[in-house]
Amino acid sequence: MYWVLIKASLFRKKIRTFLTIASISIAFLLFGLLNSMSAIFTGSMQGMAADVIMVMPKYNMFGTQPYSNVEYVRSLEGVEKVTHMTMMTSDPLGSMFDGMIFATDENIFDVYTRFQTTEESKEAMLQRPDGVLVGKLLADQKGFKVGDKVRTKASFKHEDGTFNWEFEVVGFYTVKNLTGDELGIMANYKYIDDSRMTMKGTTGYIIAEVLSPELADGISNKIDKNFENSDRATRSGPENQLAMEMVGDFGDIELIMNLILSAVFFTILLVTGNTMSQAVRERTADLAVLKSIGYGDFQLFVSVMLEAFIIIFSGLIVGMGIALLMIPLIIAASQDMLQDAIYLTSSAFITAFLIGILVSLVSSFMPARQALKLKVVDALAKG
Amino acid sequence: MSDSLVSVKAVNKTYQRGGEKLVVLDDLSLEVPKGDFLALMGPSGSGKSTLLNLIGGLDTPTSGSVEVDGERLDSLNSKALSKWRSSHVGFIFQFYNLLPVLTAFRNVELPLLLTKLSGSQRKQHVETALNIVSLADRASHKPNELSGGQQQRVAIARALVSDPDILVCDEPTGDLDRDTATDILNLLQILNRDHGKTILMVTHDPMAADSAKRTLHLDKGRLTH
Repeated sequence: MYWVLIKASLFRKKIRTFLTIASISIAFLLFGLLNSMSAIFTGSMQGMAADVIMVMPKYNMFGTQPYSNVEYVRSLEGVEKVTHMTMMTSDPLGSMFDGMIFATDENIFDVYTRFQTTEESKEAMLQRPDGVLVGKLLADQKGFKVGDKVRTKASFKHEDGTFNWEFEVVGFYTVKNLTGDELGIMANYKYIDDSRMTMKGTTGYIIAEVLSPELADGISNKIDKNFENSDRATRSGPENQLAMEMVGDFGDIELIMNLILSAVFFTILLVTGNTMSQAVRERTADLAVLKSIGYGDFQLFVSVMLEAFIIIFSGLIVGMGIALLMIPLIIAASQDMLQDAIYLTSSAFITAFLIGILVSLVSSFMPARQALKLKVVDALAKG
Repeated sequence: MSDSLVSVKAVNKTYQRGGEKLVVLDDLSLEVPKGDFLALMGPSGSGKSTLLNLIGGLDTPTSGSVEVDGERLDSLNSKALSKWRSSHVGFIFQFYNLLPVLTAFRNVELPLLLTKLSGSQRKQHVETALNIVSLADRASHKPNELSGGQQQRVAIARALVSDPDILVCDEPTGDLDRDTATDILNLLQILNRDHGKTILMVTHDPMAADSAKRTLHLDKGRLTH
């Protein structure tokens, strides 16, 4: 029974129904895409380990800290393995690539296990000071092979007085997730530190694996406390938490996202509410006739409510469906850099579902009540 | 009258409009026997449609009683009245009031969706009703594909489909040309004569009133003759 009534209402003004569903789809598409990218904005990306802590310069995420900090962290109770990473950027104009060069120790693969390589590659790095491992994504893009030379104009001054650096490809590395990290090159820290003219004896990030995730906060606090109020003050924490803090330095992205989404859903509410009110107003005579032939007030109330649910959930399914289809396209367009960084979780679908229910209820309540309260005699008298 | 299908006793209907009390029906009593075809005439505002609405269970009197086939309508609540209407009364309006996106078949089927009839039983009932109004071949047409007379026939089929005791018609020919109106009135006569339907019809048209078995006139909420 309800379906006949709802169909009669939905198809009465097909274009309006279509446009309403389309606008709701766009809102849910926006919701889906923003939600899928929230990991980028909030730093809560998949694959970040909770038992790995990062120690970075407190006031400048691209700054340096003394190498002695590595030894300090290694000496702490509860710390199992330690490595470090210095990031050297390359100038795209004078380089064979425009990615990042990570100067690190060979144990990076033991501590930071989402980075992976073969034993042969590790050995080759040890054998050749200027040997580098190229990220698979970068190697695929640039066609690097073992034995190739990589020349780059880097941010560190070489001891020869230029900014020119030359390395030789000895292997490749992959990452388990966050594929964008495959756009870099891993070089021997010792070689780079020995060969650079400035900032010798410093490093960028210290990465430590702790015995259990529960210890991560305590150890991080201890490190930060130790260097507090010094020129080598640090910011430490589990990788995912630190990533969120770093994003927070740019502003409360989550608040901005929530404000955008609130605006979107307030708009849906107005659009649907207005459409439903208009639809019920236009159908006053129909509703009066239905009541006269025996349809009850509550049946028509439910019918109007269900109509709003169908409109909103059609928009929800289409919008979230398109978002779901667009994610692989966005990842492909980013040349897999955004792999594992954009995704839709089941909680995003649950949230969308709850928003759908809420908006359906709120937007249809008044029009449904209008139908419930409609007096047949008055409505028929008005024609 | 023991064989009365409709018994209206001392009914008053008043409306409050601003500070003014508007008397629409004034101590009106009426008996309609089963099988009657009654035309109600009178000037605008005389209370014809209000009386029809009371008998059809669309409205309740301010005082007095309205009894149809032994059921006191004035004592039923809104939900019970809806249920009663679905099986005891069929409405025919001046402007047909068909749902524009539904076919003739679906429009006629609407009252049956409230019953427990199966799909095939509903189909059978709808086809019978459309046959009675000679529109079986237009079942799949939408209202905008039908003439005014055909739309009114669909509305009559919708009123008939649940086999009600009484048909309530509010200006059923008011929107039709003379020939089509005659067809509709003939159809109503057939329904009254051959199918035993009791018909109450409000009209301004003396020709329409002539189709009825008897005519009553209302003025200022009272029956004049």
